[in-house]
Amino acid sequence: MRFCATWLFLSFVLSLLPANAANGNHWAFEAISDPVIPTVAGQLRESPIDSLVVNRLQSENLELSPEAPPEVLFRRLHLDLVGLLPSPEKLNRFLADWQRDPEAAYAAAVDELLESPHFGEHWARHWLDLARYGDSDGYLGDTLRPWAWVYRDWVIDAINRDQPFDQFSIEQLAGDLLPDATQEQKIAVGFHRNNLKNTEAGADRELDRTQQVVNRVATTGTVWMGLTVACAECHDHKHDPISQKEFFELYAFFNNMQDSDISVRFEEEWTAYEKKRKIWEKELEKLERGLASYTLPPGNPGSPVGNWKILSPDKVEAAGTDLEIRKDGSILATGKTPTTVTYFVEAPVERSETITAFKLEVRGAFGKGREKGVPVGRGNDGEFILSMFFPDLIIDGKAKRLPIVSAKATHSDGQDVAETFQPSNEGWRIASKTYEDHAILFELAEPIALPKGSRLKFSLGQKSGTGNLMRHFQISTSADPPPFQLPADKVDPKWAVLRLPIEKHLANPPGKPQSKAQSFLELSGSDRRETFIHVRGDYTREGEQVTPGTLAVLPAMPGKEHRNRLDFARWLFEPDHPLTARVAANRIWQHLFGEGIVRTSDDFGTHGDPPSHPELLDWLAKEFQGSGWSRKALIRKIVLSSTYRQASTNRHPDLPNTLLWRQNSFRVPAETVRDIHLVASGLFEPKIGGPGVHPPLPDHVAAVGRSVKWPESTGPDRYRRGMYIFLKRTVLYPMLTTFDAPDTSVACSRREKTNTPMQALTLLNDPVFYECAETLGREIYTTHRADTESAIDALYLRCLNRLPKDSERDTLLSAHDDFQSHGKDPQLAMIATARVVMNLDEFISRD
Amino acid sequence: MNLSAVIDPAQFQEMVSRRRFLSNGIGSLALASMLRDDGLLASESTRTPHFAPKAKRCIYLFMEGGPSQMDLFDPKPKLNELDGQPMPDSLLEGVKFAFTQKESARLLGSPRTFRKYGDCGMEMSDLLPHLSRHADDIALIRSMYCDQFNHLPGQLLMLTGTPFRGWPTLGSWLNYGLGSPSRDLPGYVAMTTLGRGLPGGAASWSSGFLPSSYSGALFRNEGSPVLNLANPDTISPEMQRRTIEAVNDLNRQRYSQTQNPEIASRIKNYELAYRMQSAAPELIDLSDEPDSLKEAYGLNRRDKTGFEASFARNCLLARRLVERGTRFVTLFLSTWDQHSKLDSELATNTRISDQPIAALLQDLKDRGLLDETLVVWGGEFGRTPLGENRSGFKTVTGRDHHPYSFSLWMAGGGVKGGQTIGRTDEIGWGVEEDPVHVHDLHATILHLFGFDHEELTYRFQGRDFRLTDVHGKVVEKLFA
Repeated sequence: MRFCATWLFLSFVLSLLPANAANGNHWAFEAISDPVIPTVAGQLRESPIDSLVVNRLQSENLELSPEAPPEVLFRRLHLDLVGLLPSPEKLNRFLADWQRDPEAAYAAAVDELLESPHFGEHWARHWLDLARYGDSDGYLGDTLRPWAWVYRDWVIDAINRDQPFDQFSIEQLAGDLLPDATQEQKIAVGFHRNNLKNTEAGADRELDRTQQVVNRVATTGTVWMGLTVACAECHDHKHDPISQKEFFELYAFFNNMQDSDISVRFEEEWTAYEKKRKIWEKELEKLERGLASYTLPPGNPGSPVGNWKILSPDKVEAAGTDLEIRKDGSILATGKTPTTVTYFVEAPVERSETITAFKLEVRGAFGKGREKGVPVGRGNDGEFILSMFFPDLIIDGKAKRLPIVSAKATHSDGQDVAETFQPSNEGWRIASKTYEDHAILFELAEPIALPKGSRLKFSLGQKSGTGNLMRHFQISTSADPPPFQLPADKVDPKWAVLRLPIEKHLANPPGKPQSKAQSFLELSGSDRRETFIHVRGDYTREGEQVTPGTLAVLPAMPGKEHRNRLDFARWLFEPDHPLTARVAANRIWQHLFGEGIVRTSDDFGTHGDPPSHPELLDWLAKEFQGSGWSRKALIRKIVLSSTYRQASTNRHPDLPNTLLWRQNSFRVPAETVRDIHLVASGLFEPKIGGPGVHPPLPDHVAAVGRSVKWPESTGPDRYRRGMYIFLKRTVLYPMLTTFDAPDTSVACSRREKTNTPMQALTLLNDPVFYECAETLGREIYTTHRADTESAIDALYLRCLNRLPKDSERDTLLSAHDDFQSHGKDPQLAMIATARVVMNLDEFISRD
Repeated sequence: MNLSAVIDPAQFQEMVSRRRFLSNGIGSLALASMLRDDGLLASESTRTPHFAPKAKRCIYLFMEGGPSQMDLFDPKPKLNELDGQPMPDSLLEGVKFAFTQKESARLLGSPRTFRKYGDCGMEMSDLLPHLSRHADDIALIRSMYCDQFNHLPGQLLMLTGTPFRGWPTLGSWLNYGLGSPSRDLPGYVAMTTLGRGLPGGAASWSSGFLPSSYSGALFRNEGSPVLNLANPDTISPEMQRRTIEAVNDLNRQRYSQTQNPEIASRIKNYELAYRMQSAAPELIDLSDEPDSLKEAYGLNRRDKTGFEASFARNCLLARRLVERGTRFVTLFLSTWDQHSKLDSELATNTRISDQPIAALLQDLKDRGLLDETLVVWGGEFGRTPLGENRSGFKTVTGRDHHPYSFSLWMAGGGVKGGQTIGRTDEIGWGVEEDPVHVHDLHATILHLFGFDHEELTYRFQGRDFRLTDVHGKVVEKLFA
């Protein structure tokens, strides 16, 4: 019927209009006029909106409908401004205020709602339709976009703080190009990161990039100018004055944007992190204090087994690293860690003796607190591999290699210690237990006599891993006969146990915030792309080269040289631009009346609908510009008008409402259908912003896409507003789709408002909605028990914000009695009654 | 305007009377919108066919992934002869592949054996022992081609006429054009038998920019076939009936006060929803189907994945759906994307689908439904005569995506069976005779349903859109 009515009116309007083809004097390309406000007799309020509407109505012998009752107005304001329902208590307060001073009560309600943080959510959702917002790439892979919500939250915030629409727009189109762009501005420009992206293996990347740019140009045209510029991608526009060349001149503005995910710092997140970090630090200190009182047992380094003499080296060297001889004869390596390294250690033989074995000891130590201690090696994680241990005896300057027959070590990780005295890259490897002392024994092939005055020279080498050799070690000799025994294990098992909590704590520090946002980088210098016309829209067929520019039919862009996206964005807000203000004001009107003054809010071109009230549209546009582009101020002006406050009752069923002799009544948007269920039931979780949520979804729905994971949310997240449901493009949340939420492929300027049996099934049986009815019914039953009449009144107040009429109460009482006698369960009967109310057309309608 | 052909007589009578009422001084624009309100169930149609439709229902068997035409429908002895040879350079110029490395690619023959079937002598491979018995019923097009070589763009092109998301699928266009005669089931139903899933997800049956009421409904073949069809556990059928009664009673009271026509639609939709609650479970309850028929479809077959029985069940349900008035049914079977292990996986796919599809054709025929039910079988593109030598593949056992030629068949619904249309070159690379683009296929299908594809349009964002965009040529040869 709605269509029918509009068509009737349209054919009438069209007959009055001069046929203006694409010759440049199409109304939308003309300057915005400063309309004369007619004087109209008997006006209730001082409002140019009313004057213009009433004047037009009077010319058709029509008049405004009476004002809607206060409870209807209050509900209407809530649904239009915040997309939620008022509580019965709030309604009562409003009605009491209304009794005293209706005008003041109404204005106060408007102001309160405009200041509600939920206002930004509801109006952000309208904007997100235009931004084709989604939480995944779309197409085959449909890769998730884990940071898309950062942009979504920016929109909510910008609308809540009533950021002027010109700035709001400029930042989204070119925030990255603003001088000293702030983090917020770089997030805002993520508007154009919301288009689909094809990452399918084997796809033509350049084709996809081209399609993304085309989408960005088309979206920009639709959103800010109400023009279908994309029609000109392949050829000159059929009916609007847009040539293919002009399309690619617009394209050139957007042809050098490169996707860039930027790190962002949210103070809230960092405050929370620092708080956590402090608590963690305190806990760590406590653990450290606990350990401080523990005394490590003696024997570190462990008691020797057998008779060993520590050598006293007098010469050490290693290429690329520093070796230092300590007083106790041990050697400490410091400085750089070259890729491969060999330590040369020489020690004088002070008196003659015969030796049978060498012992190499490496030193490590546990930390007492958060420091893990001192590792044995200098490789990664304190590791070392000794792949070469070659002792030489030097007599009179002549060196003789001393053959080794066997080696054994306290511990080695996965390598054979015998490799140490054979040519190989492997050997003695300590990769675990790196904070303990270790030792290796080398048994000589035969006892060796060391004459006094001779020297021992050791080559200790490593061939794999950078600087992967011992840090602190000493070498001893033995004259004992074999067999040789390794030193006893020196690790105190008690200590290891005691240290465990601190190790665990150290392993789990609070994660630093790592939030990102989808932004852009503008290519510069030689990376910049030139733009050519794509012959017939085919990017592989380059036509004439073009430079950035706008449409000839619109006012010229100031300046000539090096125009960029920022110039383009600013040009949209030149005072004489005929489209931007009209298109934006029309959309605001559309959300407050269900239809725009130009019904085709996405098409102001010659094939779009003409405005039903051209002067009113121009007045609104001028008002919007004049108020410094304040969205809230314009909304306030509109909702305070008598035109807005009319009853929606259809007094003339055969007459279309294009001239606005009543308010429109329409079904609320998909997200609001969900939100008001949650509010009326009391389940609603009002949290604003943050990553998307995953309410329960039947398996077979998720199973349709390729490898889709749907990590079901728990707790209050299940009851968040519909706008926070994760928008996985291949698996859109069915309830939202059923109620006409857009599919996020292209900018959606006005949603369909279908009415289908699938919607009925959803409202009746969707587990989420049934849970709402159950919760509401149970609560009402608990508070009202056997007083069914007052229970029904309470249900009406909660869901419809009014009391039932007698006939309605009777219908529900009778249904309730049947539920009761059928189910023999009074609570279930009340649940079923609540379910009836939540299925009423009125519940999901905004009157 | 032959309305009565597609809408039941009582309803037609009602429309005519309203039309008479309306034609008093009100233009035809008004009539169109008034008719919209007379549409049924999910699909409300504003259009009337441009000429007498031959097809009234469609079952589209969508073989996701790109079935290999030279191993099923398009024998290429020369290709077998040249097995292992490089392709002539002239053919490779300007050609794009998803994965194949052009320089080292070699032709890959088919191990299949082909024979002539039916009176018409249509050639089919040994992988189609059941379908080949219906050679005289089907029209085989060997000269399909398209311009997309990736799955999703290709599938979207085949389903919506564009490679982009956001456009209406064929089933949505037909429901938009004709409405649905079904009184208690959706006019457009999609069912799936999925291996690797569907690249487009719900876009594969989306109404795009058409109102969502023309969108396909995803049915499951077991349990509760439609989302939210079953009452909540604690709500008995009796309580549900009483609920809907009370809801509609209260909605009627509101309607009498406000006169808002949307309320009237709401009332009607609650009644329809209630009817669907019994009709949909009845639809998938196969107890009244004879065992012999279930066996013919292959419902009793058991394989590891359960695909054989599932696809058989979907085929039988497709017949039950069209029998009950559903305008358009799409059965998705995925995937035919055989980059490797072509021989064995093709055998698996045909084992799943050959018997049920043949049984469906026979069943429709036996019930006299085939004449007015168009059955379409096909994927989004074909596969290369070259073996796929993607880097990282040790051996060549499959074929890459091939948009330049592929096979598709149709049966029933005004299509002349027993004919083969089009010819590919001797190695099966390009089309040599009667090329049929996807747009031409769409134009032809719309024609079978009584629409001039250039006239069935929808205004969106300032432009009149159509399924075939600015293309499409009806393939007259196909018509009976």
